[in-house]
Amino acid sequence: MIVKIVDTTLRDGEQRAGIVLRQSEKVQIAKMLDYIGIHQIEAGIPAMGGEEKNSIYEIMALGLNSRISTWNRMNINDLKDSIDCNPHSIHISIPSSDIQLEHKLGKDRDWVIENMRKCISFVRDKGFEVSIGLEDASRADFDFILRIIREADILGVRRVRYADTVGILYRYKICEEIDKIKRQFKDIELEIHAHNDLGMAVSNSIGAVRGGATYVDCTIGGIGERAGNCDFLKFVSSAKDILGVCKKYNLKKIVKTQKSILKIIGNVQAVS
Amino acid sequence: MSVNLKNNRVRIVDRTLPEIFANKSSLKRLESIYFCWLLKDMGVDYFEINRAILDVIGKLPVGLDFIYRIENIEDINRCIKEGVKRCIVGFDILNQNYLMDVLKTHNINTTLEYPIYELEDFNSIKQLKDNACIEMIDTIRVVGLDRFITPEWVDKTMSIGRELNININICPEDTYSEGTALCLEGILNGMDSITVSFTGYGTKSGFAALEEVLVALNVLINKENKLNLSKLAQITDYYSKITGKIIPENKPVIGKGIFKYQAGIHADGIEKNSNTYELYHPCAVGQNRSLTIGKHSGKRAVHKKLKELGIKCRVEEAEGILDNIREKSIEHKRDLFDHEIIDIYVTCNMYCRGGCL
Repeated sequence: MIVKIVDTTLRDGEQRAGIVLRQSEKVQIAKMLDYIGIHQIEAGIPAMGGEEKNSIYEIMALGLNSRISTWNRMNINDLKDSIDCNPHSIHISIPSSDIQLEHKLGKDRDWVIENMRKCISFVRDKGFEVSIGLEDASRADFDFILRIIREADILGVRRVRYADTVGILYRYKICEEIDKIKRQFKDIELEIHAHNDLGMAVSNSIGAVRGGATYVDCTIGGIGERAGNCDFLKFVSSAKDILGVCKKYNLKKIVKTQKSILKIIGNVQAVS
Repeated sequence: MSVNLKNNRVRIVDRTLPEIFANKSSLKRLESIYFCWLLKDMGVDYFEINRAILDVIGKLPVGLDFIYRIENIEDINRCIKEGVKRCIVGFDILNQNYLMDVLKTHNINTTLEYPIYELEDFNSIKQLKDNACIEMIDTIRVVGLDRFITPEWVDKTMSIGRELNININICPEDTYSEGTALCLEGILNGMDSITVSFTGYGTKSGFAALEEVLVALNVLINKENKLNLSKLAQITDYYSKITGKIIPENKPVIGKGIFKYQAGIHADGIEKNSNTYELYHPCAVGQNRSLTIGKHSGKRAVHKKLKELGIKCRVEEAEGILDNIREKSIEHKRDLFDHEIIDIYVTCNMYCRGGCL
């Protein structure tokens, strides 16, 4: 099995309160991530405009080996900004739990499906590769998750991200759910996006790979919202030793590069 | 206090002190004892100690239960002298009939520590059946386990308990960041006790982190009968103070930065209902939530912040200063202080009144 790393240091990592990256720094970090062999770099959120969008233009212009993707809300205007950046892949985050739908958006499940269809079609019609992310999947109704994936599958989406948005997963649950999804949608590649609220992001990512996920989202130093995301170095170390995957990564090289990247990121104390 | 689940009372053993002392700690008597009391309030039942700790603590306080690590006959004598009722031994002690007889004679509850790192190691543990002293052992502490990612380890560990008619304690190491998950699985599957350390601290790769296990129990398992963990922030401060260890801002459960939020989508969600992006309320672990303003802030977050600062304005006005806030945040490479946000708002408004709009 080949496990590919999606590094989201420049998107979810930077969203941690207190972290601010300048355009030049984002570009520098992207080069370093490419150097250590990251398969895909989630470079940012073009809808933020300004420096954020410019940094993605500049990263694209580098012609790195890593594939570059952008993160978007399920919103046509956001997607237009992404299309401007001409990334290799465009990611659309689909709110999937009732908690998110009712309390944040005030919408229902049919609205999600309808909007998702519009957004996926909009991007695919422009010739871009699309992946979707099931936001808060770990608290969503599993049948609804399957419904979303079924619709996305019909629309030609080939990769689905399972996001443990609040870090509530444990390894057997994610292994089982990924396995169930994989059995129903054999042509869909699955990606795990784990948060570390209970200190189990690495463990859950390993569990997802056991279940059949072939993409794992990580950040350098595990930085990210709240307690952070799956720590790249820790994940690769564990995956190598326990699962025998990720062998192409050179740990010494990662340790050295991580140090340099964290130096660029700098002091991450948030102003309170 | 223990953790009471439906059909199982799980006891918690903490091994933070010996791990701290292993690094030539200068912890004093009262500091060590007070730290134990704080952890007891969280649900810890037993505190592992050794001779080095006993030398510092001296007379053991009433009300706390200790497990003394025995390495030789002097330790046994000390254990008896200090009136410690529980001890932990390694395989080398188990093979010394005389020492085991002394422990038995003094009615000391004994735990045998046994490392398990590979599935094959489970086979060798069964050979204990033939050991003459095994009947003197009350509990087996299975230490290691960190490579196990399939449920097989649970069955094999439980079968040891059944075959030897003995209690099972697990002490997962955290080499592969699996410690917390292993503890939860152990608890869910009926193991009698777990051994953990505060922050997961340990001399090698560390252990399952006590605070992560407790919060995970509250959130995932013990929803009806939650432990009161509101003193966790106080314990964290005290731990840092007495050990000099700095807790990373994003350390799960106890990091000071884990309830700071800024990104537009998260800030919006949390303002509407904190459950959207928080697994549990900050006060459940003695912390507070705080909104920071910087590069990733959205219009609603800025609007809320301005309101907090006493500035009444419309959301559209807040949106109008977003670019300035982002520029300033990028310029300083940090989030903004309140006075800087006010400055931006005032400057933008003056400019607008002067002919911008």
